[in-house]
Amino acid sequence: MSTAIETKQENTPVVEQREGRSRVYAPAVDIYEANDHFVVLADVPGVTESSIDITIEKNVLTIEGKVEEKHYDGLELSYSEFGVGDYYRAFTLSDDVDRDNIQATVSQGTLRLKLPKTEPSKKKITVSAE
Amino acid sequence: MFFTDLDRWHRSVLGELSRGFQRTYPGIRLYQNNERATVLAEVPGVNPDTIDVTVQDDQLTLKAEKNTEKPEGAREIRSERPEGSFTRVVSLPFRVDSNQVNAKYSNGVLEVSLPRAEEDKPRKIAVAS
Repeated sequence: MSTAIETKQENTPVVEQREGRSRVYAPAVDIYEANDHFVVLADVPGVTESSIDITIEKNVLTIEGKVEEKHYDGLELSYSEFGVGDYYRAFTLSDDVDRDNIQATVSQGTLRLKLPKTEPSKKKITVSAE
Repeated sequence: MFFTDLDRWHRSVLGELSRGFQRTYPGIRLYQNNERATVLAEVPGVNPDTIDVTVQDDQLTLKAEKNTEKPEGAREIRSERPEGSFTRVVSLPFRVDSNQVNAKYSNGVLEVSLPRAEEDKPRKIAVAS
């Protein structure tokens, strides 16, 4: 059984050389919106909890993952379809994302971010009769 | 739209380039010498129980299923990650001892180590003088 798989592999370096380190790739992401939260899934194979950084600065959320290229003693890389490097991707958050309660987990090379929405701040203006 | 993707420009460019990849998912890397080979495949987010690795002679077949659990009642805003079941057949540089093949899956990377079959190894023929 081999059904078609929708693939949008972004496997070309975004930035060729950054600070003398390895190449940087943009991970593929899925984004969902539920009533009270957003979910962002990002494929970051090779990344663990300790090698990923998620930062928020102003309204920009940044995902950065570090991957060390593996080397095998006595073996030469003879064929390659994907490059090994770090991950980087940034998103602009809307005002209704609760920045203080974002949860992040990494499992099997997939980062999952849960971004709760803030309560809409409604303010009723009383109209007084003159 | 609540998220604005700063990388949209490069996605539009790469979207064009990546169309040819459909039959070659997942991508692999092959490391080898004369005695053994290691194949790496990036398959993030698949259920390890669905991974099926088989070897016959010099053909390695990788199968897995990638199904994302969609949050209940959620609306999809963006979908770039591949989904579904896939099969990838890799031609190896030599025949492999299928009893000695070792596969492990960690952090979304599948690593298969494949020792060359004894009968496939080059033999030195003694030259009689």
